[in-house]
Amino acid sequence: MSEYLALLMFPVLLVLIFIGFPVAFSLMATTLIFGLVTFGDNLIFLLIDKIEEVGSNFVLAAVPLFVFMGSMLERSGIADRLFEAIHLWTKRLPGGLAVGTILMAILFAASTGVIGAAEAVIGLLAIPPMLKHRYNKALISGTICAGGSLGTIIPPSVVAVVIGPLANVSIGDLFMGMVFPGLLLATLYAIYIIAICVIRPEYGPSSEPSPDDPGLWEKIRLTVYALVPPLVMIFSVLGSMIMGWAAPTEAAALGALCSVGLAVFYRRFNMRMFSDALMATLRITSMIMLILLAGNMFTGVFAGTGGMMVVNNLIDALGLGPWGLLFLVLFLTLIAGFFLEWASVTLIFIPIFAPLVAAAGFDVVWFCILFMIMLQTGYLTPPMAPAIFYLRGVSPPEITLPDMYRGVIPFILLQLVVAGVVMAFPQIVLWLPSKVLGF
Amino acid sequence: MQKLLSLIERITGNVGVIAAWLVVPLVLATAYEVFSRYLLNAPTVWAFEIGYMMMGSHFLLGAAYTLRQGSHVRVDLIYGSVSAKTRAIIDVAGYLFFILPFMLWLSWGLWDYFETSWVDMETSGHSSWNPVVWPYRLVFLIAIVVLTLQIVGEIIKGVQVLTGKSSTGGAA
Amino acid sequence: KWKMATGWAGGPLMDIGAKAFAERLEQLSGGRMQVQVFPGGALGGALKVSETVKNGIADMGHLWMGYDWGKDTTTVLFGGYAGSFDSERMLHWLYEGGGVELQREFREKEFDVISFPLFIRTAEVFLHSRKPVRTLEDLQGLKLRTAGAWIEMSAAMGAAPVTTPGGEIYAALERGVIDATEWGTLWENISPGFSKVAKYLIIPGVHQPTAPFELVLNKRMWGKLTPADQALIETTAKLVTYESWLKIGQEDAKSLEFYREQGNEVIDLEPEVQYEARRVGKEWAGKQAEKSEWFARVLKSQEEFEKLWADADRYRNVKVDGKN
Ligand code: NA
Ligand code: NA
Repeated sequence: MSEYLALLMFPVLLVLIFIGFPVAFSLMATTLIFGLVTFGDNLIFLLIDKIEEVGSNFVLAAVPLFVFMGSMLERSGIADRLFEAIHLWTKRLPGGLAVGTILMAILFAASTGVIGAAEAVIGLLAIPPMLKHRYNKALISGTICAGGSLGTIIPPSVVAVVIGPLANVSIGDLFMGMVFPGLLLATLYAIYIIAICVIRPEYGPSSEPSPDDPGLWEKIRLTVYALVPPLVMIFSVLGSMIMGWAAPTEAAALGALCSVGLAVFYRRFNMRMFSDALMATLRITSMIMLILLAGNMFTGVFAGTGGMMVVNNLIDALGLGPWGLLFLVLFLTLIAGFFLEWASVTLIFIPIFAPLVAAAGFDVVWFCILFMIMLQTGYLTPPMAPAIFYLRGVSPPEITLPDMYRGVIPFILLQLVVAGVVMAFPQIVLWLPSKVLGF
Repeated sequence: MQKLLSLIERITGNVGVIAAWLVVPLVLATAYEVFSRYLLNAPTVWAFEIGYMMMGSHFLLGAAYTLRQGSHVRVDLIYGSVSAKTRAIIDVAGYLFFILPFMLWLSWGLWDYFETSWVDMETSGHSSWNPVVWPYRLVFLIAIVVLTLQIVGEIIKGVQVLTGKSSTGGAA
Repeated sequence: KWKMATGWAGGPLMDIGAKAFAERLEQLSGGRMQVQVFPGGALGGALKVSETVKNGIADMGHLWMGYDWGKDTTTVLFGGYAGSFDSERMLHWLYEGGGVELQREFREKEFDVISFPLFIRTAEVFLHSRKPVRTLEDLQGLKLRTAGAWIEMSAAMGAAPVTTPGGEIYAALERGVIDATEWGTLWENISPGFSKVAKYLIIPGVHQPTAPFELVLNKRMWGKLTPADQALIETTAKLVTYESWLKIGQEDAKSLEFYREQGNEVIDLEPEVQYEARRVGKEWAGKQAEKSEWFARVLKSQEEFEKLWADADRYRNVKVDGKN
């Protein structure tokens, strides 16, 4: 019976978060209350263990590294020029800057697997130019959150690396299996942005041709000038990985180093600017990582209090057929994603679900991809939406929380559409691994 | 009160600056590892452990500064629309009843954690460099103690709002 | 109902180690003793299971003792290393040669937990490699990913060992950031899929000829049990250890076929590499024994056992030419 106590953790957490207590501290307070009930004095060991665990996870170094890279590029004016160049070409395409942001998001997603890191860097770079061109704030928010979350489903992905061994499937199969669903998702994002901006032109204002417009050659010159530095950046991160020089987190460090080099090259580097970038990096990183740490503590207590058993009992009690089971599992994942961050949901659900789904005769790789799409949806879904919390860390105050909540909704729906498509056509997932891998 | 508050905020600020600069060794160590491994075919034994230590020290030591700057994110749908006094009540209650005890307990626990590793000269076991772990555990301890101080600072700020000594209150 | 922390996400260690123990214990106790198994990281850290159990966050745990080598290198002798004997001898040393008693005493005195062997690995795959490795020469400068004490030993053999976070091994191997990685036995390595991006499968695992794992129990919880229940737990652990050994033997044999069908090239290490690895392992152990009393004591027990079994292959192994 006492395991049902675990379920009470969510309402308590929600109340704390909604009265406006900082998210990380709300998680800690809930952890403290329920942890004392379950573990008594021993809770302290669990808390310290989580600090040690998060504090010795090298892969998380991608967070400060990418945030720093974003802060440097933002301050060196490189991001500005990049978006101005994109704007030159796309200004008559409805929502052009937002589409450009999605393209950039795909590149960053392909160079990191750590959620939060990609979102912070995209937000730092793309929000100011979109605001400047008077894009709708909800659209800006949705674009950044959804684009930033692509890191989950475009390889490499830390989520896949965690899920693989938990579900007894190959990480390589997951990486390959997610390529098409990931690209499909990104394409739908772009189509949606264009569509909404055609219907409601004020969302992503496109400008009329004017006599001041630069000529074609001038446009090409400006573009090359603006595109070279980001290309150097992208090469330093993505290229160094593809060439086999650096592992993903190391590539993030090369990108960070490169961003300093570019600032020097463009004569925007000075100690003041550098130290500003460092302090901004600290604020954003610390905010993100403290939520991650507190979420880990919360999960430890949730699991220890019997949370996993509750879920198990629930599924047992219903006795569903294969598809009924699958839908319930995905639904629970989605719901859990409303409250918990991805690592917690994965750690709690995959060991329970993967064997059940396999026993029901489904392909486990395919299931894991569906699970990841649901996770990503949960990551965007209010009230406990890490995507939105991280966005708040990098966006100016004029973009309000309601803007963000409104902005993510269409993108959440698109994710559900992709989940449906993947369910109906498993080949989207299964074809690529069978072609690419092996000798 | 005010004096204590400014002392706390000075400590938090200084520790924050140190934390922020740790990104530099993180970048350099990691980039050096790539250089040394790819071009010299000589991977280092230390870059991996330096990497996670810099990452961890960075965000843990920076937590207090981030709190001081009001950058720990909140959902302000309600919080943003209530009076400064109500906001102060939410903060003071939350910090005083939950987070301050939490952090004090954690500080005490981390002291023990540090002391054990100091006495046993425990090593990390994460790589062949295998460094002693007490310095990193000392960082945990310092980080949480400084965060505890800043929590006290936030409580002071809240109380100042409630007693009418300050109109702006805690973090925006 | 007891909580069991583990260091595993899934795979054989979970299925025929931790979970098999939970199932057997429930079955043999007539349903009286129930164990809920948690994946690594759910309760405490995956590499900190003995601490999680000592501190009472979990009642028991399943782990590889070598994870604690930063606290005491003696754990490496119980967990297996390049200087270990094979898994058959390891089982005999543990259950007949005084190993179990030493392990119990060592863990209780130094780590404050009750410990029994639970699950045993046979020799691992030496490497999933992008380059063929046969000789000592091939090993020079090879960027191989590994962990623990073998980093030091492989460096002494001329390799360039790399520490890569678990989550990035696959990507690093795929792109050639590293040349090769070790992981577990043939069967266990199917699931992570390193063989899909590294053509060569190098055997046998001279760095880890055997790997016994262990069950640790919280002392307070242990103290509350009747002697009969204590005996039941100990016997169940022994049974599951045997069963894991049988299962891995059979599954490894099938797995080699799997790799061949997948197109991997299977390479046997030249004897010179096998001898050298053992020599380096022994040398390392000798150095540790000078620094630690416990290490010296356990090493001595293992060496005495080895001496006793020196001629065992003469009377236990009938030579066969492999053709009929
Ligand atoms: Na990614
Ligand atoms: Na959510």
